[in-house]
Amino acid sequence: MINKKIEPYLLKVQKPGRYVGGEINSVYKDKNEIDVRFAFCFPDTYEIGMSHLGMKILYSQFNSVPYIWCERVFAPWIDMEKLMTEKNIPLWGLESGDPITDFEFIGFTLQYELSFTNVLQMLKLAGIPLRSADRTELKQIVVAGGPCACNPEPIADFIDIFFIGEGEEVDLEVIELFRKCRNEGKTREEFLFLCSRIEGVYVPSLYDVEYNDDGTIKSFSAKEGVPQKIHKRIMMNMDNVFYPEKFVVPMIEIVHDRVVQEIFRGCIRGCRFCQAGFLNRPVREKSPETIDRQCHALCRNTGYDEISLSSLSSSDYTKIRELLDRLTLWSVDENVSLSLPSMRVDGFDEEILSKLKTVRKSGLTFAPEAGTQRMRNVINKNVTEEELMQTCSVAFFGGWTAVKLYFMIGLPTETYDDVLGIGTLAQKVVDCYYRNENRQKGKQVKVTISTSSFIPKPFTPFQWEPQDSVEEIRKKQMALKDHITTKKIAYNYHDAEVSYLEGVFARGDRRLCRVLEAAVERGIHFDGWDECFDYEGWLEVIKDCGLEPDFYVTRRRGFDEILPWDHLDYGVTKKFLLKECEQAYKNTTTPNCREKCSGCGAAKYGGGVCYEKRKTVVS
Amino acid sequence: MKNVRLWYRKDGACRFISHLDINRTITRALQMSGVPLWHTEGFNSRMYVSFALPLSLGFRGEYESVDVRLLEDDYPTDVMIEKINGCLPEGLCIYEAGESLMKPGDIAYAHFIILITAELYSPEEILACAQRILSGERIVTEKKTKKGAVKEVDLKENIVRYNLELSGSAVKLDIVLPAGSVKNVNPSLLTDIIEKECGCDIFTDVTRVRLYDDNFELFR
Repeated sequence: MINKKIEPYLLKVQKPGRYVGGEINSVYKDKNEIDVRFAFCFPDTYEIGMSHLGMKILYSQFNSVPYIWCERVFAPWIDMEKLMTEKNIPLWGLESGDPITDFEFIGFTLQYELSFTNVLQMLKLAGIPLRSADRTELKQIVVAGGPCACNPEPIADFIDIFFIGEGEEVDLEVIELFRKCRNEGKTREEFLFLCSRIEGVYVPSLYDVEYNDDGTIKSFSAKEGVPQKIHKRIMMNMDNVFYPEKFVVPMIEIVHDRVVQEIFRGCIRGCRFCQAGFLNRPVREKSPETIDRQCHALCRNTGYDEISLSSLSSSDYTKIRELLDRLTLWSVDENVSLSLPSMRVDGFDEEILSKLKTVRKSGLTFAPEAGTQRMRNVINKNVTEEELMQTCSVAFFGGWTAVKLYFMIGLPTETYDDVLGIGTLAQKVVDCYYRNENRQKGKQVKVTISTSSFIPKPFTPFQWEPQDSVEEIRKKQMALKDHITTKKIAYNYHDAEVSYLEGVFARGDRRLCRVLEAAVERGIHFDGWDECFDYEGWLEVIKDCGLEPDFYVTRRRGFDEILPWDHLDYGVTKKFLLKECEQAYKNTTTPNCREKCSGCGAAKYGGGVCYEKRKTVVS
Repeated sequence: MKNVRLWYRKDGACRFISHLDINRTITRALQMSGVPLWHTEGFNSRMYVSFALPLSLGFRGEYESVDVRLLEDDYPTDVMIEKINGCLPEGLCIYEAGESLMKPGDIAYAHFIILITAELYSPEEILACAQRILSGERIVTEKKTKKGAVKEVDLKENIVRYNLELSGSAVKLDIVLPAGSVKNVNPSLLTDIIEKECGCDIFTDVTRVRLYDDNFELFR
């Protein structure tokens, strides 16, 4: 239902289709027959949020419970925001068109640090007090989950409950507890206290932090009766885990406008920069039967003609051939094309290629991540130059003429040789194309290299490392740019200032809450968008709050320091991360989970890859 | 194989999406409906759909059509309509399906009903402004050509007929303008001028009600 107050103004803003709802498969319920209204907020625009798989899963799951009505809410773009403020129209849910102000739950998914300001901005637009302490009744429970909940401290003052780990079970347990508490006439405090005892729930207001004079953490303590350590929740049986049969099908074009099918969670590789790889351990696969059934249902219920098989490293799916065989049995006849993002350089062969090509040819992208073998060993990206060349040969042989390569700069122990090595590697790919007899005649090769700036993240072996300064990153970007002499190679790089700001919040502490609040007060938000990003403004806010950004970004942390996220447990032990960090300094790689168990700690969940029979083990 | 012209209404939430998005949304609904429709046979095979005349974002349409090709000649029309409607979002609804009697290229005129309101002005005041504009000898505005150049057009000479009157709390402009691939005049060119004349924000609610060919025969 279109919000009636906003309807007359819809033609005054860009892309009004973002604000009207009404899409096929969106869920409508009778307000009088439900107990709990849940506003599922994505702190970015409709096009970004609607592409997010987690939201699709939880939206369907919440709405499968008769007493819950879950609605979608996205951050209105600045033109709409201005109108809403002028006309005094509070943020509304797309399904009912009702203001979300008095909803029982306001949930946020935290996918990237630069969306933190949008979380606050959305609360503000909804007319909900920003600080948890200022919300006193048993409603407006603000919850958050997602990868950035692994260091929730920079937004801890605004969120009542964080969900640590995977949300499918814990979210519903909390909602059920809420319902019970409300029936029993309990207070907000009583409810939050009881919540803190559910595994996977972190209630930040029940913990106190003390700081040393140098700004590091002196102590982090739980209030009485509250667990000191918060353990992540994890779904072990992927064939039983809830997966929607329908997606809401957007009417305007979104970023990932296709069926997204999860094939497994976690990653066996252990690349040392990759937070997702450590947070989501151990690897748990869905069976080909389940994936096939879910894909087919989704295509039928949405009308999409493209499926993306999603995971952290698609070619590591153990039954990839069996799966592609199954899918192509119907996908070809139904004009549905398949794509496999996140392919590894070493997991690519002609057979897979031909299956992907059956309907439509998509682009090829690989992520060697670093330009030299030494650097790749440091980050444990176990890919060799030969493998990359082999893969590119196969691709060029198959008729591809464009390849995209992703790299990072600013990695620990990096030298200029490593940076320039990226350009050299790209040149070798170009040479590989012209050596290929079977290349498309008369067509030029196009190699696009993109470098992002490395940001050390919590729960990775590099969590103690300093991040490169803005100046250092720029110097490296320019050096690489000058090193490339051919037009066959295009070079794109990330803005160093954006990465710096991300670095502040990635490993920040609770003192940053007041920075976020002050930033939003000054109108700073949508930091992930070039047209809104205000670096100078940010530096000023941080300074005015009496903090030093370099403390969070470029400082090397001591191995014995209490880190702001130490009270959370994602299965991987700190001891293991430390060992991995030392291995990195020695340029030594660690075998992947299928080759050899390295004892990261995730085996305690009792399933997944940790208990698979290894090929190298003679049984 | 049989060509079929599907007639639909565009309204509600779908009023706020662009022609390109309408195209995508309808194509997906057709795919989802399971109605046996023909796909093109080129390298990038896709469902064949052809829209008679795009409708601007924000406009309602009561007489919109899209051509498809049925693979089964005797596929029942009512079943087809029901299946497709079950897959369309709020605001899109097919109400008829039949043979295409004219080519989309034959479309020459469109009939619009436009309701105009404003926050600061009464309907009488808007009516006066609109009357001033419409009764002028010429209504000159600038229009961007496809090549990006700006050219001056006189809307007055393009207006086939119009009627302006008060309708409740709004001003109702009933107007026929050239439309189609040869010459097309978007009514928003006119409402923009009226907005300028009023000197305040106006809200327009535009509905395209009918399409005609050169001889003012209803497009079928």
